[in-house]
Amino acid sequence: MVARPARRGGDVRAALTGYAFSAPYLILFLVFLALPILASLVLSFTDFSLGDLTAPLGAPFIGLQNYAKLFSDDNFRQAALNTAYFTVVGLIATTVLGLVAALGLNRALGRLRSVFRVGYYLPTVTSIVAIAVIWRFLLDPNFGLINGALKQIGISGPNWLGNPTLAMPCIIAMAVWRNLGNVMVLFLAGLQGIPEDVYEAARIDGATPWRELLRITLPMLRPTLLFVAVITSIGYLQLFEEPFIMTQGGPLNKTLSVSMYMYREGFSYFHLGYASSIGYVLFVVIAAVTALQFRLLRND
Amino acid sequence: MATTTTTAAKTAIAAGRTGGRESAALRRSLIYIGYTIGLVLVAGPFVWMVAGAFKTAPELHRIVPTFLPAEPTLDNFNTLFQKLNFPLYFLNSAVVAFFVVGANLLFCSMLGYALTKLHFPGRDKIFLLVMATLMVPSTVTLVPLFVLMSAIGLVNTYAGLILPFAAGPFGVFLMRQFIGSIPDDLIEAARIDGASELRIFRSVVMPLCGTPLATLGIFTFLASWNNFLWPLVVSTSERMYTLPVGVATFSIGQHSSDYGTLMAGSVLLVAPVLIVFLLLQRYFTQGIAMTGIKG
Amino acid sequence: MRSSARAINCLAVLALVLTACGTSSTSNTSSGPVTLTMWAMGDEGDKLPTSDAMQAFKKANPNITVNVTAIPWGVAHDKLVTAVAGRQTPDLSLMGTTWMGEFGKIGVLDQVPSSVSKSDFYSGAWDAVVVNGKAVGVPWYVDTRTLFYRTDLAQKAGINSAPQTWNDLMKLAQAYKASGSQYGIYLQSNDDQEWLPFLYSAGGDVMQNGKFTLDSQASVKSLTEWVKYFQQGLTPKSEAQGFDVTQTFTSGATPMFISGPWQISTLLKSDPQITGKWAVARVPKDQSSTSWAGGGDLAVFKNSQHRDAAWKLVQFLAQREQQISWFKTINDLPAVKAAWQDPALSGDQNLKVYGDQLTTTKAPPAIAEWTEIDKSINDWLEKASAGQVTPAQAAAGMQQAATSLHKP
Repeated sequence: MVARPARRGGDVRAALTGYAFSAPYLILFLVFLALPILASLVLSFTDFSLGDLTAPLGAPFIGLQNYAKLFSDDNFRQAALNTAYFTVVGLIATTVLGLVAALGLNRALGRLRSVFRVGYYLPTVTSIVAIAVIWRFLLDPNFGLINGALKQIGISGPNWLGNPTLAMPCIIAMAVWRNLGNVMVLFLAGLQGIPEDVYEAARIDGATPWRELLRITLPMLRPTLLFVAVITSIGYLQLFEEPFIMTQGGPLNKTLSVSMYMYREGFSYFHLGYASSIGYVLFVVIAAVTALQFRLLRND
Repeated sequence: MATTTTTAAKTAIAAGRTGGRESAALRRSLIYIGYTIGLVLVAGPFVWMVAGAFKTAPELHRIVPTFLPAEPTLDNFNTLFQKLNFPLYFLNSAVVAFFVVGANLLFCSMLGYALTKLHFPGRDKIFLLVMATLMVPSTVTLVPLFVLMSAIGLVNTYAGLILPFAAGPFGVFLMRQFIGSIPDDLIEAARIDGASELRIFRSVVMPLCGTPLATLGIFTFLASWNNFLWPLVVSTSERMYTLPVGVATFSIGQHSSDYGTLMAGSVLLVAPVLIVFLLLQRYFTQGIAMTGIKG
Repeated sequence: MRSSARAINCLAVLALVLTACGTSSTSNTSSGPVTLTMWAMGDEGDKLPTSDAMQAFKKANPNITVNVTAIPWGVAHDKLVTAVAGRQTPDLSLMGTTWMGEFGKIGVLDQVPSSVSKSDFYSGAWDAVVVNGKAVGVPWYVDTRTLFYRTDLAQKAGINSAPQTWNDLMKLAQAYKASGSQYGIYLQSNDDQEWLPFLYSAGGDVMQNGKFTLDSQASVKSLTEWVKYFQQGLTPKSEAQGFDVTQTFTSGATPMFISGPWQISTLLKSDPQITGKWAVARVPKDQSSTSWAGGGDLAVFKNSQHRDAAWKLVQFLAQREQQISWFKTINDLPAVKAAWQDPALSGDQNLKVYGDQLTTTKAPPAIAEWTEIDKSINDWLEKASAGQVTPAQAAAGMQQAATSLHKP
């Protein structure tokens, strides 16, 4: 009887302490992350432009017009195609190569394993801006290392980033190069989680290494595979820095990505409403792709 | 007949065994060679960058490029430091990274503590809300954030560069995970001793969080140091450029084939990260094992 | 409308909580020392701080410090737009002439003081700074495009005079290629500043009487002529970012190109082996020889706390002597007519060509959406150059894009 009110008082105090500890994070989180996500949706129904910044309340509401315009916009269609191309090819190449690298590293290389792991991981931690700048120099048709090396063996190399067919594959190659290590390290962690006795049992049954891979390793790696696929596609769908620095979206808009198109519409021409609708479509696509991957790769 | 067959079979088996050992050794060295070639491919662009940073302009524009600098020079770095404002960009990047890391360490562990060791209504909903934003791409918030920053006059300020990244969901996930594993008894004991929650947080919980804090700190530092799109938008004048914005801006336009300066700038951009990575790489492995999230 | 208003209201209110971290406060205009922030693009930005003109200004105005921020042309427009949006504009800035319509109409530029005399400037240059009947900038330099060609290689190919007509140009390009050059000319497949001289010379224009005329017969004709160079392999089909035409001109790989006056000093300073082996000529004519007109204007922002000091600098840079001095620094053509009488300009054969070309030029329309329209035109030009669309389709595409982007 006596204890109760005291406890209730304690509850209030505990609750207040809880909120006090959460407050600094939550205020920043709500203002700078949660709210903008909602505001983005609202903005996408308006014709918000440069003049509206001084009087944001006056931005005209135009319903679904931005979205309607998106579907008849050739540039957006091109950007969506390019982004899909980049994501699909990049994702497959990164995952397969990362898995192969991890499998080899997991089995074969004793003491040198950590050297290779650190080495392969290196590009992942470095700035994409720096890497894009370096690769642009590597691929320079006249002064770059690649065409220089080709010249040594008598081949006149192509104009990599200036060629509409080659530019995107170059950007994909660079993305694979940069993310391979990260994916490999993730797979390595996943492989180390597979108990050794499962393999031993299989070996007693006379399984070949190939069957081991198909029957044991891959199924057991499913959660890792899911994780790799999700974070890699989220990252790839937001392609921006590489074309921004290496090609400016050209040649012939063949490397224009959705994020870049959004940036251009938003911050070159200040069609903020339209840019928001592009951003929101990208968001929905990312959410859908993630959900799809969960469906396909989830254990049962 | 029978004996010959068995002997033959035995020799065959023996041969097969040594052959197996040989082929295993061969396969092993092939794998080594393969991985070493891979390592060369990974390191190549970085070596090309460093070499380029020390080459003279005529050498960089030679029709058949040299790999290593023929006459090493510091000219490119001089250009960065004397003609361009690279020290300023470097300082801006460092200031922003410092505050972003500090804010994340403090605020994420506070929330992590509240979410696991304090009881209050709505606690689990808060966690779900935060986690729901973990996968939201930054492109979605770009435009409204700019509108917001413009409305409150924070465009082109340190606050404008820092605040959107001062409270990331990843840190909450990590800290909640770790603080949750600290035994409740430890905290209850301190409470019984009459310690305030702030004190418990400061002198009981935080000292135990060395590893996750280091991991979070490193990942946040990398993300902040390499961050590009938001700083590009919000730093309208050179005064507020961070290093990636400075390098990218320099690489577009009339200097786009000034590879020497660009490579020197890239060296400055990459070097701090590589140093942090190589010195502290055990935290990376732990961080990846714990969460798998990249920087 | 209401929900959008409410959301933005929310944004603002929540945000106010954080304004404590606020911005730097503004300082008052006074007679004390003043620091001006000025943005300048490209080579202008690189060279202005140490130029004689700027030194002279500092000597004459010891209490004014000028901080010049150099911004590449490629990002300058975006940076200016976001600066306006974030109310973080510099005190003054160099502007591309084609941006004046856009920024003038938003009303962020200060009106030119009455002491600036319109008659000092080339009238075409002055027209570009007038928006809604008010001058919002002062022309700093003028710019146009002419043809650069290698005289030594032309002689080798059996041609001894400058190309006068489209036909001559085509013949010379073919002759260069036949006599061993990799290409005959360098035309940038996605830059309308090199195509517009063809359009204007064919008698066409971007806009006439408030309507776009990008699908006119003259337009199709000029595109057809333009595309021929790409089809016949007379010019590189594509080039990477950062392509440097000076180098390929020097090596002889592209013995002709169309560019601006700054190339004169670049070429004079490049490989001495080609000194005296090249010349400048007016753009080849069809109906006429009419080139693109552009340039740089100096504008002061209304938000500036130091407008008087900023205008002082602008007026200083527009003086005859400073125009000549600036020309000597960077070869930007003076916008002030009187500066052209100086021997530094009147005595130079190549510059005479520029002076001559300047008398017949056209400028793109001063409309707010020009930056976007310009980008679409470039995209269609690139498609036509690559052979993806016919010249007629490109012309129709340009017309359609321009019409839909322009809000009169």
